[in-house]
Amino acid sequence: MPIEPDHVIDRRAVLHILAALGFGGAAAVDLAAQARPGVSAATLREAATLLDGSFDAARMAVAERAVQRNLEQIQVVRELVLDDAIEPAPVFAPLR
Amino acid sequence: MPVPTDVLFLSAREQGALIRARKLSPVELVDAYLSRIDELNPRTNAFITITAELARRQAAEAEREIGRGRYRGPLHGIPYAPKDILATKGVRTTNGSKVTATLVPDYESTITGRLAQAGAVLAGKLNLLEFAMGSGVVSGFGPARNPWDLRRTPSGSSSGSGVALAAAMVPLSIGTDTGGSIRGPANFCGIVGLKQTYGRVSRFGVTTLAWTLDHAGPMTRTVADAALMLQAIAGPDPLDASSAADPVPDYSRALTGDIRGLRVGVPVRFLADGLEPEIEAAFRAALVMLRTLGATVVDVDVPHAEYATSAGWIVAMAEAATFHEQRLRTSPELFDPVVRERLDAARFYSATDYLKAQRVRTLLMREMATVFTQCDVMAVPGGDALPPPLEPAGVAATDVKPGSKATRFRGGTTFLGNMTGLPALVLPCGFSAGPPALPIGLQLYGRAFDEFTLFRVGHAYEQATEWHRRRPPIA
Repeated sequence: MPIEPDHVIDRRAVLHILAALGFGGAAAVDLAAQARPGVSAATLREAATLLDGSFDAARMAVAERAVQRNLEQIQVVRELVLDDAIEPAPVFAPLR
Repeated sequence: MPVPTDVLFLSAREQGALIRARKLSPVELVDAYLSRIDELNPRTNAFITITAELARRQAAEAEREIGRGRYRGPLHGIPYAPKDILATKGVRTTNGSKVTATLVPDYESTITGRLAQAGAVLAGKLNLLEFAMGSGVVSGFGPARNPWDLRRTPSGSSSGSGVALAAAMVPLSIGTDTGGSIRGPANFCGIVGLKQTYGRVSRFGVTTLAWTLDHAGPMTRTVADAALMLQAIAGPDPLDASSAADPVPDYSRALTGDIRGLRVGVPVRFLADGLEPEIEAAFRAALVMLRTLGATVVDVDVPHAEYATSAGWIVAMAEAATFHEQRLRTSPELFDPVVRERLDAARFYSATDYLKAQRVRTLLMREMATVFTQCDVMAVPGGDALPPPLEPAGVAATDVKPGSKATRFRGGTTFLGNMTGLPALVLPCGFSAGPPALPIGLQLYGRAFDEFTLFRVGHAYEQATEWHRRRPPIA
């Protein structure tokens, strides 16, 4: 079926297609991440207000490019399905 | 009498034996190194601070003590220089940054304190990438240069340590490693670097990059010297809650040269893609040598190894952005642009991203535990490329470069060690054909707190080869 211009591609469907083409694991997620829609500067500015709003325009422009790039990478980790028994590594230990 | 250059290329272990036998004067030894630092530092930029006066005073004290029969051990009277991220009381500690360029700590890091107790002589503080994560080009003190080819990077972030050792400006150094910052320079500079088990060595007084990934460990020219240094600095420390109480074995007993019966695991997926042919050839030749020495080489698998760097980068930058939060607010203009870019971007990571990355660590630890039921050490290449040319400042100022790959590839084969906390040793295993001939490294991973076996295998390999004896052209 042809994909309409406003059709949102389901990421998991993309991963299934890539797997069928022989791209597995993080490599597949990497490829799928490249198809991810970008974050706009306006969205990022809104998000920055949640932090402390200290970014000037130049710094925000750099952050925008870097965040965009890192999102692709974070997606690799987000897409990894983990068993429920796997807990985060740092262990909380009360002071004695 | 002037100390011949050849003596400066001896291992610390050999120099220590001469000092103990009173055939080598600590004062003359440190003078010879200080002259060499004066000669080579303008070209290599390995040192940020040279503590000549202090070094001569400490060497004279060592000489007096040894003369009175109070020999402290194999590091007594031996010069060293740590990465300038370890606090040294009364001696400027810059972190390679304009942000802390004039900082003079009023306390001593546990590591430098223990080396002082062992009688080692502080020759100065070594260059690094800003706060152990900068470009190494733009930041506070300019780039250190690889002595095998001064146009190339020595890697980082313990850049000055790699350079100073390869060029015989000091025999011993301490680096830090959060994603590969000891092992990268060891690999690119043709020296030995150990990232020991997390908790084996105190982090007190070492400026944080990321609390749960940081390690500070030995950088040397031989495996035996790495063992000597670890012996001096390892062990619990009440000032570091993450330091472990595990007993520290006598590492000198590992240096037998006998590895018969040991199993060396090779994870095939590390070799699948992107390795330069000369690196792969050197690595495979190293495996042949290990077999010749009596080890058995077996295939192993770390199914999610390729996630180590992606997840590690999230953990590292989230923790670093938290650590530098106040400095980023008050003096952002003083940071290396690439450090600021990385930390600013990390502020947009979510708590769930961070915790997911921490769950990946658990997964990787379990997979490595399985690996070590099948082998005693795991071998991988020290890195996946030869040292590239230093980047122009404009290019180095950002990670967002045309055509650049994302962060999964930053850290290569090294982040696995930081994410699992397992020890890993890099040592030379070859050179490219050149010109210029450039070093190639072998990396050995071990079980938690089993640096002993890493020393055993590394030393046996080193004794059977000559790679560690090569000297860079600048020498």
